Amino acid sequence: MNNTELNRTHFARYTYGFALLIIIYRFFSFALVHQLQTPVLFENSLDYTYWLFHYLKIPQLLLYNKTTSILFDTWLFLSTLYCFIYAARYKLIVLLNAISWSCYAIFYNSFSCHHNYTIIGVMILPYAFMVKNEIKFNLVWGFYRDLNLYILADAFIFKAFINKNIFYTRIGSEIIKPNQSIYLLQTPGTWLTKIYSFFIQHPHLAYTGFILMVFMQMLCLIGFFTKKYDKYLFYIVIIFHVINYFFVDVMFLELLILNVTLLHKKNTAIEKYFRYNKNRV
Amino acid sequence: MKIFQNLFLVKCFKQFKILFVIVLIFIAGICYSHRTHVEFTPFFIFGAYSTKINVHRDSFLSIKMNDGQLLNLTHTYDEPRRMMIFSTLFLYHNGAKNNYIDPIKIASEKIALKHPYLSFLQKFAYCEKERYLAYLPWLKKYMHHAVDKEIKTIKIYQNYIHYTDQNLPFIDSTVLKYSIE
Repeated sequence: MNNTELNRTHFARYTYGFALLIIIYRFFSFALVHQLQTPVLFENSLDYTYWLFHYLKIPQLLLYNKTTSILFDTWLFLSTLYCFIYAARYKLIVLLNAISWSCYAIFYNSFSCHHNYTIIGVMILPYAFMVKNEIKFNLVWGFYRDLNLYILADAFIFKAFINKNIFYTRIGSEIIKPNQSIYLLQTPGTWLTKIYSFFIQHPHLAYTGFILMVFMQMLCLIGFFTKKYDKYLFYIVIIFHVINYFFVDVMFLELLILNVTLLHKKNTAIEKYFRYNKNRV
Repeated sequence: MKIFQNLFLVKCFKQFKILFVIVLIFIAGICYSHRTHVEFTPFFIFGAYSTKINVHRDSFLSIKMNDGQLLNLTHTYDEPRRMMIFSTLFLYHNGAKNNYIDPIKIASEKIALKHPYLSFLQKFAYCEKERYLAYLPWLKKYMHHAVDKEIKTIKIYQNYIHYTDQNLPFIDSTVLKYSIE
Protein backbone atom coordinates (compact mmCIF):
# COMPACT_ATOMS: atom_id res chain seq x y z
CA MET A 1 0.00 0.00 0.00
CA ASN A 2 1.32 3.44 -0.74
CA ASN A 3 0.02 6.94 -0.64
CA THR A 4 -0.93 7.02 -4.32
CA GLU A 5 -3.80 4.65 -3.53
CA LEU A 6 -5.53 7.42 -1.64
CA ASN A 7 -7.48 9.50 -4.03
CA ARG A 8 -7.45 13.17 -4.81
CA THR A 9 -10.67 13.85 -2.88
CA HIS A 10 -9.20 12.72 0.40
CA PHE A 11 -6.01 14.71 -0.07
CA ALA A 12 -8.06 17.78 -0.98
CA ARG A 13 -10.14 17.49 2.19
CA TYR A 14 -7.03 17.12 4.33
CA THR A 15 -5.18 19.97 2.60
CA TYR A 16 -8.02 22.49 2.64
CA GLY A 17 -9.06 21.42 6.14
CA PHE A 18 -5.55 22.24 7.32
CA ALA A 19 -5.63 25.51 5.34
CA LEU A 20 -8.86 26.47 7.14
CA LEU A 21 -7.12 25.86 10.47
CA ILE A 22 -4.29 28.14 9.30
CA ILE A 23 -6.74 30.95 8.51
CA ILE A 24 -8.44 30.59 11.90
CA TYR A 25 -5.07 30.47 13.67
CA ARG A 26 -3.87 33.56 11.82
CA PHE A 27 -7.13 35.38 12.54
CA PHE A 28 -6.57 34.91 16.29
CA SER A 29 -2.93 35.91 15.84
CA PHE A 30 -3.94 39.21 14.16
CA ALA A 31 -2.11 38.34 10.96
CA LEU A 32 -4.73 38.42 8.22
CA VAL A 33 -4.44 41.25 5.69
CA HIS A 34 -7.30 43.36 7.12
CA GLN A 35 -5.85 43.02 10.64
CA LEU A 36 -2.43 44.43 9.79
CA GLN A 37 -3.55 48.08 9.95
CA THR A 38 -1.99 49.04 6.60
CA PRO A 39 1.65 48.17 7.35
CA VAL A 40 4.35 50.49 6.04
CA LEU A 41 7.68 48.70 6.31
CA PHE A 42 8.48 45.69 4.19
CA GLU A 43 11.47 43.47 3.63
CA ASN A 44 11.88 42.00 0.17
CA SER A 45 15.45 40.91 0.69
CA LEU A 46 17.07 39.67 -2.53
CA ASP A 47 14.05 37.58 -3.48
CA TYR A 48 13.10 38.53 -7.07
CA THR A 49 9.61 37.10 -6.64
CA TYR A 50 8.97 39.60 -3.84
CA TRP A 51 10.35 42.41 -5.98
CA LEU A 52 7.95 41.40 -8.75
CA PHE A 53 5.07 41.21 -6.27
CA HIS A 54 5.65 44.84 -5.30
CA TYR A 55 6.30 45.86 -8.92
CA LEU A 56 2.85 44.51 -9.84
CA LYS A 57 1.45 46.68 -7.04
CA ILE A 58 -0.40 43.77 -5.44
CA PRO A 59 0.15 45.12 -1.89
CA GLN A 60 -1.39 48.44 -2.90
CA LEU A 61 -4.36 46.56 -4.33
CA LEU A 62 -4.88 44.57 -1.14
CA LEU A 63 -4.34 47.59 1.09
CA TYR A 64 -6.20 50.07 -1.11
CA ASN A 65 -8.74 50.51 1.66
CA LYS A 66 -10.19 48.54 4.56
CA THR A 67 -12.91 47.08 2.32
CA THR A 68 -10.50 45.52 -0.19
CA SER A 69 -8.48 43.87 2.56
CA ILE A 70 -11.63 42.52 4.24
CA LEU A 71 -12.88 41.27 0.86
CA PHE A 72 -9.58 39.50 0.22
CA ASP A 73 -9.58 37.75 3.60
CA THR A 74 -13.24 36.79 3.19
CA TRP A 75 -12.52 35.40 -0.28
CA LEU A 76 -9.54 33.44 1.04
CA PHE A 77 -11.66 31.88 3.77
CA LEU A 78 -14.73 31.16 1.63
CA SER A 79 -12.81 29.77 -1.35
CA THR A 80 -10.80 27.50 0.96
CA LEU A 81 -14.02 26.36 2.62
CA TYR A 82 -15.55 25.76 -0.82
CA CYS A 83 -12.56 23.69 -1.93
CA PHE A 84 -12.79 21.74 1.33
CA ILE A 85 -16.50 20.98 0.95
CA TYR A 86 -16.36 20.16 -2.77
CA ALA A 87 -12.90 18.55 -2.58
CA ALA A 88 -11.30 21.01 -5.03
CA ARG A 89 -13.70 20.02 -7.81
CA TYR A 90 -13.77 23.33 -9.73
CA LYS A 91 -10.49 24.22 -11.38
CA LEU A 92 -11.08 27.96 -11.60
CA ILE A 93 -11.85 28.27 -7.87
CA VAL A 94 -8.83 26.06 -7.08
CA LEU A 95 -6.56 28.27 -9.22
CA LEU A 96 -7.87 31.55 -7.78
CA ASN A 97 -7.64 30.16 -4.27
CA ALA A 98 -4.05 28.94 -4.84
CA ILE A 99 -3.03 32.35 -6.24
CA SER A 100 -4.68 34.03 -3.25
CA TRP A 101 -2.74 31.85 -0.81
CA SER A 102 0.50 32.67 -2.65
CA CYS A 103 -0.33 36.39 -2.51
CA TYR A 104 -1.18 36.18 1.17
CA ALA A 105 2.05 34.32 2.00
CA ILE A 106 4.26 36.76 0.10
CA PHE A 107 2.31 39.71 1.48
CA TYR A 108 2.62 38.52 5.08
CA ASN A 109 6.28 37.56 4.78
CA SER A 110 7.09 40.85 3.10
CA PHE A 111 5.30 43.08 5.63
CA SER A 112 6.29 41.05 8.68
CA CYS A 113 9.85 41.73 7.50
CA HIS A 114 10.82 38.10 7.83
CA HIS A 115 10.66 35.50 5.08
CA ASN A 116 9.19 32.78 7.21
CA TYR A 117 9.21 29.22 5.84
CA THR A 118 6.24 28.16 7.92
CA ILE A 119 3.74 29.60 5.42
CA ILE A 120 5.30 28.14 2.26
CA GLY A 121 3.37 24.86 2.55
CA VAL A 122 -0.04 26.45 2.09
CA MET A 123 1.51 28.84 -0.42
CA ILE A 124 2.39 26.06 -2.89
CA LEU A 125 0.34 22.95 -2.07
CA PRO A 126 -3.10 24.10 -3.38
CA TYR A 127 -1.71 24.19 -6.96
CA ALA A 128 -1.56 20.39 -6.86
CA PHE A 129 -5.35 20.27 -7.16
CA MET A 130 -5.27 21.96 -10.56
CA VAL A 131 -4.79 18.45 -11.92
CA LYS A 132 -7.89 16.26 -12.04
CA ASN A 133 -6.68 13.15 -13.85
CA GLU A 134 -5.86 10.59 -11.15
CA ILE A 135 -2.63 9.31 -12.74
CA LYS A 136 -1.30 12.80 -13.37
CA PHE A 137 -2.44 13.91 -9.92
CA ASN A 138 -0.46 11.09 -8.31
CA LEU A 139 2.64 12.28 -10.16
CA VAL A 140 2.09 15.88 -9.00
CA TRP A 141 1.49 14.61 -5.49
CA GLY A 142 4.76 12.68 -5.69
CA PHE A 143 6.52 15.90 -6.61
CA TYR A 144 5.07 17.65 -3.54
CA ARG A 145 6.07 14.66 -1.41
CA ASP A 146 9.66 15.04 -2.61
CA LEU A 147 9.46 18.76 -1.93
CA ASN A 148 8.37 18.07 1.65
CA LEU A 149 11.30 15.70 2.14
CA TYR A 150 13.66 18.14 0.41
CA ILE A 151 13.02 20.74 3.14
CA LEU A 152 14.65 18.63 5.83
CA ALA A 153 17.06 16.80 3.52
CA ASP A 154 18.46 20.11 2.24
CA ALA A 155 18.93 21.31 5.82
CA PHE A 156 20.97 18.13 6.42
CA ILE A 157 23.07 18.70 3.27
CA PHE A 158 23.85 22.26 4.39
CA LYS A 159 24.98 21.10 7.83
CA ALA A 160 26.94 18.09 6.60
CA PHE A 161 28.46 19.19 3.29
CA ILE A 162 28.07 22.90 2.58
CA ASN A 163 28.64 24.74 5.87
CA LYS A 164 29.88 21.63 7.70
CA ASN A 165 28.95 22.46 11.27
CA ILE A 166 28.02 18.94 12.39
CA PHE A 167 31.46 18.41 13.93
CA TYR A 168 31.37 21.68 15.84
CA THR A 169 30.58 20.38 19.34
CA ARG A 170 29.37 23.70 20.77
CA ILE A 171 26.72 24.17 18.08
CA GLY A 172 23.82 22.77 20.12
CA SER A 173 24.17 25.20 23.01
CA GLU A 174 25.18 28.03 20.66
CA ILE A 175 21.89 27.64 18.78
CA ILE A 176 19.76 27.50 21.95
CA LYS A 177 21.63 30.43 23.58
CA PRO A 178 20.69 33.37 21.30
CA ASN A 179 17.24 31.95 20.55
CA GLN A 180 16.29 31.60 24.19
CA SER A 181 18.26 34.44 25.81
CA ILE A 182 15.28 36.85 25.78
CA TYR A 183 13.04 34.16 27.27
CA LEU A 184 15.63 33.38 29.97
CA LEU A 185 15.90 37.05 30.91
CA GLN A 186 12.22 37.94 30.67
CA THR A 187 10.76 34.79 32.19
CA PRO A 188 13.12 33.62 34.95
CA GLY A 189 12.28 30.71 37.24
CA THR A 190 10.02 28.65 34.95
CA TRP A 191 10.60 24.93 34.29
CA LEU A 192 11.43 25.74 30.67
CA THR A 193 14.05 28.26 31.80
CA LYS A 194 15.66 25.53 33.91
CA ILE A 195 15.70 23.12 30.96
CA TYR A 196 17.24 25.69 28.60
CA SER A 197 19.83 26.75 31.19
CA PHE A 198 20.75 23.09 31.74
CA PHE A 199 21.34 22.44 28.04
CA ILE A 200 23.19 25.73 27.54
CA GLN A 201 25.48 24.84 30.46
CA HIS A 202 26.03 21.29 29.15
CA PRO A 203 27.14 21.82 25.53
CA HIS A 204 27.83 18.12 24.93
CA LEU A 205 24.26 17.16 25.80
CA ALA A 206 22.96 19.97 23.58
CA TYR A 207 25.30 18.73 20.83
CA THR A 208 23.90 15.21 21.19
CA GLY A 209 20.43 16.69 20.72
CA PHE A 210 21.64 18.61 17.67
CA ILE A 211 23.09 15.43 16.14
CA LEU A 212 19.78 13.62 16.73
CA MET A 213 17.98 16.45 14.92
CA VAL A 214 20.46 16.28 12.03
CA PHE A 215 19.97 12.50 11.96
CA MET A 216 16.21 13.00 11.60
CA GLN A 217 16.88 15.39 8.71
CA MET A 218 19.21 12.83 7.10
CA LEU A 219 16.53 10.12 7.32
CA CYS A 220 14.39 12.18 4.96
CA LEU A 221 16.91 11.39 2.21
CA ILE A 222 15.68 7.77 2.32
CA GLY A 223 12.29 8.97 1.14
CA PHE A 224 13.74 9.92 -2.25
CA PHE A 225 14.50 6.26 -2.97
CA THR A 226 11.52 4.44 -1.47
CA LYS A 227 8.03 5.11 -0.15
CA LYS A 228 8.24 2.14 2.20
CA TYR A 229 9.16 4.23 5.22
CA ASP A 230 6.73 7.09 4.67
CA LYS A 231 4.72 6.16 7.75
CA TYR A 232 7.82 6.72 9.91
CA LEU A 233 8.93 9.85 8.06
CA PHE A 234 5.44 11.29 8.66
CA TYR A 235 6.03 11.22 12.43
CA ILE A 236 9.72 12.14 12.18
CA VAL A 237 8.83 15.44 10.47
CA ILE A 238 6.25 16.22 13.19
CA ILE A 239 8.67 15.33 16.02
CA PHE A 240 11.38 17.45 14.37
CA HIS A 241 9.18 20.57 14.24
CA VAL A 242 7.86 20.10 17.80
CA ILE A 243 11.42 19.80 19.20
CA ASN A 244 12.42 22.82 17.11
CA TYR A 245 9.56 24.78 18.64
CA PHE A 246 10.62 24.01 22.21
CA PHE A 247 14.36 24.46 21.85
CA VAL A 248 14.74 27.07 19.13
CA ASP A 249 11.43 28.91 19.60
CA VAL A 250 10.59 28.60 15.93
CA MET A 251 6.95 27.78 15.23
CA PHE A 252 6.90 25.68 12.04
CA LEU A 253 3.69 23.76 12.65
CA GLU A 254 1.85 25.39 9.72
CA LEU A 255 4.45 23.84 7.43
CA LEU A 256 3.08 20.44 8.44
CA ILE A 257 0.37 20.90 5.82
CA LEU A 258 2.96 19.41 3.43
CA ASN A 259 3.12 16.32 5.61
CA VAL A 260 -0.15 15.10 4.13
CA THR A 261 1.97 14.01 1.16
CA LEU A 262 3.51 11.34 3.39
CA LEU A 263 0.21 9.89 4.51
CA HIS A 264 -0.01 6.13 4.55
CA LYS A 265 -3.18 4.08 4.51
CA LYS A 266 -3.07 3.10 8.15
CA ASN A 267 -1.21 5.83 9.91
CA THR A 268 -3.68 8.59 10.60
CA ALA A 269 -7.03 8.87 12.23
CA ILE A 270 -8.23 11.24 9.51
CA GLU A 271 -7.56 8.62 6.84
CA LYS A 272 -9.42 6.01 8.85
CA TYR A 273 -12.31 8.46 9.00
CA PHE A 274 -12.28 8.97 5.23
CA ARG A 275 -12.01 5.24 4.55
CA TYR A 276 -14.91 4.60 6.92
CA ASN A 277 -17.07 7.14 5.11
CA LYS A 278 -16.06 5.78 1.72
CA ASN A 279 -17.03 2.26 2.80
CA ARG A 280 -20.40 3.52 4.02
CA VAL A 281 -21.07 5.09 0.63
CA MET B 1 16.23 -1.09 -16.89
CA LYS B 2 13.19 -1.47 -14.63
CA ILE B 3 14.85 0.75 -12.03
CA PHE B 4 15.35 3.39 -14.70
CA GLN B 5 11.69 3.22 -15.74
CA ASN B 6 10.57 3.65 -12.13
CA LEU B 7 12.46 6.92 -11.75
CA PHE B 8 10.15 9.83 -11.01
CA LEU B 9 11.48 11.99 -13.86
CA VAL B 10 11.10 9.14 -16.37
CA LYS B 11 7.49 8.59 -15.26
CA CYS B 12 6.83 12.33 -15.62
CA PHE B 13 8.37 12.39 -19.08
CA LYS B 14 6.19 9.49 -20.21
CA GLN B 15 2.90 10.45 -18.56
CA PHE B 16 2.87 14.20 -17.84
CA LYS B 17 5.27 16.32 -19.90
CA ILE B 18 4.23 19.67 -18.37
CA LEU B 19 5.14 18.39 -14.92
CA PHE B 20 8.43 17.07 -16.31
CA VAL B 21 9.31 20.59 -17.50
CA ILE B 22 8.20 22.13 -14.16
CA VAL B 23 10.35 19.67 -12.20
CA LEU B 24 13.37 20.43 -14.40
CA ILE B 25 12.86 24.18 -13.91
CA PHE B 26 12.52 23.59 -10.19
CA ILE B 27 15.73 21.58 -10.02
CA ALA B 28 17.56 24.25 -12.05
CA GLY B 29 16.19 27.02 -9.77
CA ILE B 30 17.27 25.19 -6.64
CA CYS B 31 20.74 24.56 -8.07
CA TYR B 32 21.03 28.27 -8.92
CA SER B 33 19.92 29.24 -5.39
CA HIS B 34 22.47 26.89 -3.85
CA ARG B 35 25.26 28.11 -6.11
CA THR B 36 24.61 31.82 -5.54
CA HIS B 37 23.20 31.56 -1.99
CA VAL B 38 20.48 33.91 -3.22
CA GLU B 39 17.10 32.44 -2.49
CA PHE B 40 14.05 33.40 -4.49
CA THR B 41 10.54 32.04 -4.10
CA PRO B 42 9.70 29.19 -4.72
CA PHE B 43 13.29 27.97 -5.06
CA PHE B 44 13.93 27.77 -1.34
CA ILE B 45 17.16 26.78 0.34
CA PHE B 46 17.20 25.56 3.91
CA GLY B 47 20.55 26.52 5.35
CA ALA B 48 19.39 27.86 8.72
CA TYR B 49 21.52 26.90 11.74
CA SER B 50 24.15 25.35 9.51
CA THR B 51 26.97 27.77 10.29
CA LYS B 52 29.38 27.75 13.23
CA ILE B 53 28.12 30.25 15.78
CA ASN B 54 29.92 31.51 18.87
CA VAL B 55 28.12 34.40 20.53
CA HIS B 56 29.70 36.28 23.44
CA ARG B 57 27.85 39.57 23.26
CA ASP B 58 24.45 40.36 21.86
CA SER B 59 21.58 42.83 22.10
CA PHE B 60 17.83 42.70 21.73
CA LEU B 61 14.92 45.12 21.65
CA SER B 62 12.19 45.06 24.26
CA ILE B 63 8.89 46.91 24.45
CA LYS B 64 7.26 48.39 27.51
CA MET B 65 3.70 49.72 27.44
CA ASN B 66 2.05 52.46 29.51
CA ASP B 67 3.38 52.23 33.06
CA GLY B 68 6.21 49.85 32.25
CA GLN B 69 4.31 46.65 31.43
CA LEU B 70 6.67 44.40 29.42
CA LEU B 71 5.40 42.94 26.15
CA ASN B 72 6.65 39.38 26.45
CA LEU B 73 6.00 37.36 23.31
CA THR B 74 8.89 34.95 23.72
CA HIS B 75 8.15 31.28 23.38
CA THR B 76 4.67 31.75 22.12
CA TYR B 77 2.49 29.81 19.69
CA ASP B 78 1.36 33.29 18.63
CA GLU B 79 4.26 33.64 16.19
CA PRO B 80 2.56 35.62 13.36
CA ARG B 81 1.74 38.47 15.77
CA ARG B 82 5.23 38.35 17.29
CA MET B 83 6.74 38.66 13.80
CA MET B 84 4.54 41.63 12.96
CA ILE B 85 5.82 43.44 16.06
CA PHE B 86 9.39 42.36 16.65
CA SER B 87 10.62 41.53 13.13
CA THR B 88 9.34 44.84 11.80
CA LEU B 89 10.86 46.64 14.79
CA PHE B 90 14.19 44.95 14.16
CA LEU B 91 14.16 46.09 10.52
CA TYR B 92 13.17 49.61 11.54
CA HIS B 93 15.96 49.75 14.10
CA ASN B 94 18.54 48.62 11.52
CA GLY B 95 17.29 51.24 9.07
CA ALA B 96 17.21 53.99 11.72
CA LYS B 97 20.84 53.20 12.66
CA ASN B 98 21.68 53.55 8.97
CA ASN B 99 20.13 57.03 8.61
CA TYR B 100 16.89 55.48 7.31
CA ILE B 101 18.59 53.80 4.39
CA ASP B 102 17.42 50.23 3.90
CA PRO B 103 20.45 47.88 4.15
CA ILE B 104 19.07 45.96 1.14
CA LYS B 105 19.33 49.04 -1.10
CA ILE B 106 23.07 48.74 -1.73
CA ALA B 107 22.94 44.98 -2.27
CA SER B 108 20.03 45.31 -4.72
CA GLU B 109 21.87 48.05 -6.64
CA LYS B 110 24.84 45.72 -7.05
CA ILE B 111 22.54 43.01 -8.40
CA ALA B 112 20.95 45.46 -10.85
CA LEU B 113 24.42 46.44 -12.10
CA LYS B 114 25.38 42.81 -12.57
CA HIS B 115 22.04 41.82 -14.13
CA PRO B 116 20.69 44.93 -15.95
CA TYR B 117 17.48 43.10 -16.97
CA LEU B 118 16.50 43.18 -13.28
CA SER B 119 16.93 46.94 -12.92
CA PHE B 120 13.21 47.63 -13.51
CA LEU B 121 12.47 45.58 -10.39
CA GLN B 122 15.32 46.82 -8.22
CA LYS B 123 13.60 49.89 -6.77
CA PHE B 124 10.95 47.58 -5.31
CA ALA B 125 13.55 45.73 -3.26
CA TYR B 126 13.84 48.24 -0.42
CA CYS B 127 11.90 50.74 1.69
CA GLU B 128 12.29 54.47 1.17
CA LYS B 129 12.87 56.85 4.09
CA GLU B 130 9.17 57.88 4.19
CA ARG B 131 8.18 54.35 5.08
CA TYR B 132 10.64 54.30 7.99
CA LEU B 133 9.30 57.61 9.25
CA ALA B 134 5.74 56.24 9.20
CA TYR B 135 6.70 53.08 11.07
CA LEU B 136 6.44 54.03 14.76
CA PRO B 137 2.88 55.45 14.45
CA TRP B 138 1.94 52.24 12.58
CA LEU B 139 3.44 50.10 15.35
CA LYS B 140 1.29 51.88 17.93
CA LYS B 141 -1.79 51.43 15.75
CA TYR B 142 -1.11 47.72 15.25
CA MET B 143 -0.38 47.13 18.93
CA HIS B 144 -3.51 49.04 19.85
CA HIS B 145 -5.44 46.60 17.68
CA ALA B 146 -3.52 43.39 18.33
CA VAL B 147 -2.22 43.73 21.90
CA ASP B 148 -4.24 46.11 24.05
CA LYS B 149 -6.72 48.85 23.25
CA GLU B 150 -5.65 50.77 26.34
CA ILE B 151 -2.09 51.39 25.10
CA LYS B 152 -1.20 55.06 25.45
CA THR B 153 2.58 55.06 25.45
CA ILE B 154 5.14 52.63 24.07
CA LYS B 155 8.80 52.68 25.02
CA ILE B 156 11.33 50.62 23.14
CA TYR B 157 14.60 49.68 24.79
CA GLN B 158 17.77 48.12 23.52
CA ASN B 159 19.23 45.64 25.97
CA TYR B 160 22.94 44.90 25.69
CA ILE B 161 23.89 41.50 27.04
CA HIS B 162 26.89 39.28 27.49
CA TYR B 163 27.11 35.57 28.24
CA THR B 164 28.63 34.60 31.57
CA ASP B 165 31.20 31.85 32.20
CA GLN B 166 28.23 29.49 32.61
CA ASN B 167 27.10 30.58 29.14
CA LEU B 168 23.97 32.28 30.52
CA PRO B 169 22.79 35.73 29.35
CA PHE B 170 23.33 38.75 31.60
CA ILE B 171 22.07 42.28 30.89
CA ASP B 172 24.88 44.87 30.95
CA SER B 173 22.82 47.93 30.15
CA THR B 174 19.43 49.01 28.87
CA VAL B 175 19.01 52.11 26.71
CA LEU B 176 15.76 53.81 25.76
CA LYS B 177 15.75 54.00 21.95
CA TYR B 178 12.28 55.08 20.86
CA SER B 179 9.27 56.47 22.62
CA ILE B 180 5.79 56.67 21.12
CA GLU B 181 3.22 58.87 22.88
